[in-house]
Amino acid sequence: MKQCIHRTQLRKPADLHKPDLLHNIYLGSFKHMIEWVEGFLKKHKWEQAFDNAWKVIPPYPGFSVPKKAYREITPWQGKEMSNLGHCISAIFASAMRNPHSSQYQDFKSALKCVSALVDFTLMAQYRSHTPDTLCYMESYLQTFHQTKDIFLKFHTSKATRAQANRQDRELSELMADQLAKEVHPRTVANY
Amino acid sequence: MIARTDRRADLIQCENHFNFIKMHFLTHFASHVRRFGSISIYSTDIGELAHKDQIKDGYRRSNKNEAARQIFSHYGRQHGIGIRLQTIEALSKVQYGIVVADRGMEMPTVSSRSTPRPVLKGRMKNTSTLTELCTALDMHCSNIMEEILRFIRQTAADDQRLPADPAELWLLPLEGFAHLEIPVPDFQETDRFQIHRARCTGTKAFRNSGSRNDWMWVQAGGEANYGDLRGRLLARLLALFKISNILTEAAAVHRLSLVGILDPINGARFHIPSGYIRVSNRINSRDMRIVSIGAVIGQAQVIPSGEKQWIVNHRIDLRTFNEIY
Repeated sequence: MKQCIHRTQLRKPADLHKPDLLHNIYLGSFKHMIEWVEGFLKKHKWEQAFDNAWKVIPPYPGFSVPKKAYREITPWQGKEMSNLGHCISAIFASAMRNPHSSQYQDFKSALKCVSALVDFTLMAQYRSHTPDTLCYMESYLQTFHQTKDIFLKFHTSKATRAQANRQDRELSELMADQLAKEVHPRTVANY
Repeated sequence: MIARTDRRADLIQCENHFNFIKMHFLTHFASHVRRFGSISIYSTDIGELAHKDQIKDGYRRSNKNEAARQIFSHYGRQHGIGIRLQTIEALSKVQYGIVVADRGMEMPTVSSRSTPRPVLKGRMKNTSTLTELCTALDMHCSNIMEEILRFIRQTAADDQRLPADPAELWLLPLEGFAHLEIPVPDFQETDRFQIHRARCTGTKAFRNSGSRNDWMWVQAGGEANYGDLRGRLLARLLALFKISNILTEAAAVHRLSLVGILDPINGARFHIPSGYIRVSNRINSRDMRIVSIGAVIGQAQVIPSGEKQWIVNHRIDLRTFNEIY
């Protein structure tokens, strides 16, 4: 406890968390969401349909129509991300309009999850709030947390990968040892 | 080897989690609004954009020699002029209000800031009568005539009304346009408008690419109509024209547009798995309609989804998002 207070005293107010649309949502959550969506589309082989829908987005005031194909956009900056937020869920829905009956449940919850995150973001941009809008905002976030498990297998962080590699190495060493014992039981017995 | 890749994938599967800081921060957003106000005013993207306005632009204008001082003076000048312009604008509004009051007209000062009207731009050549407009649009004359007559019958019968006789209608002077600017009130703002620039080039190309006939929202009924769309319909802008009734003394000018209406599927309710309203082409023949320019509310975005079906993207801007849910 003492250490905890001691630590907080060292922190300056500037270090505290500030809710920030750019770094927290566009470059934070949306960046992860793109990875999940890509993984999901790849698994269900809907990439081509998604790309086709991406190509035909009509213009709208305040929305810049992407000039490149989805996979060719390399600098995903704040502007691209906010653009993406406005259209990704509709394109996702359009790409997966005829799901196979086995994919139906996955499709439904994936879309629900993406839409909830986008809705939360849109609501967070409101300039003035009422208790109702805040309630909506919280309920969207709740929906997002309830449905996000569909994307769990597509979310792999660097640390996770490193840990998996380490465990994998350990396991293979162990197996190699065992293999060596099985192959040369007599050499082992001689010692 | 394959077994090993599988094992590695399994290990990664087991270790995956959503326990990272950006996910956690989202939970604080609502409480932040309650304590400190809306989030957008604390957002850093404003600060990051200001770096370009305040520093990079100034540096580009300088002679790159001891630039700091020049950057400061450049930004100071820009800022000063900006403030002065805003002051002039505010003063001119006040003066206008006073003038109106002096004349003793029964007009409250608030209404002096009337809502701007939609503006027609981009006059098209060779569209001076209805027949020529039909040729330019590559459409059958009788269809358009039928719709115009239907529109005329719906309007109130006064001296401003267009003649309901086809023979007279063919003679009336007409002007075709390719561009409609609609002022749409900014979301959660008063007296600020966003201009929607809708194009309707007919069969002609728009900026060296294909023709452009934009998707629009059209007011078609009361709040209770058309389910979740609340009295609005989606339509493609096919033609814009002014027609003036020179046969009467008033010579009233009517600003009309020809739109191709889309029908909402499932009574304009949200499609359950996708969470979007879907629209499709009309099945019965009467898909075109003449509406007055005032009934065209603003641009809409639809995303094609299969044969002659579209998804209404209501998440495209905050305004649409707030109205359709």
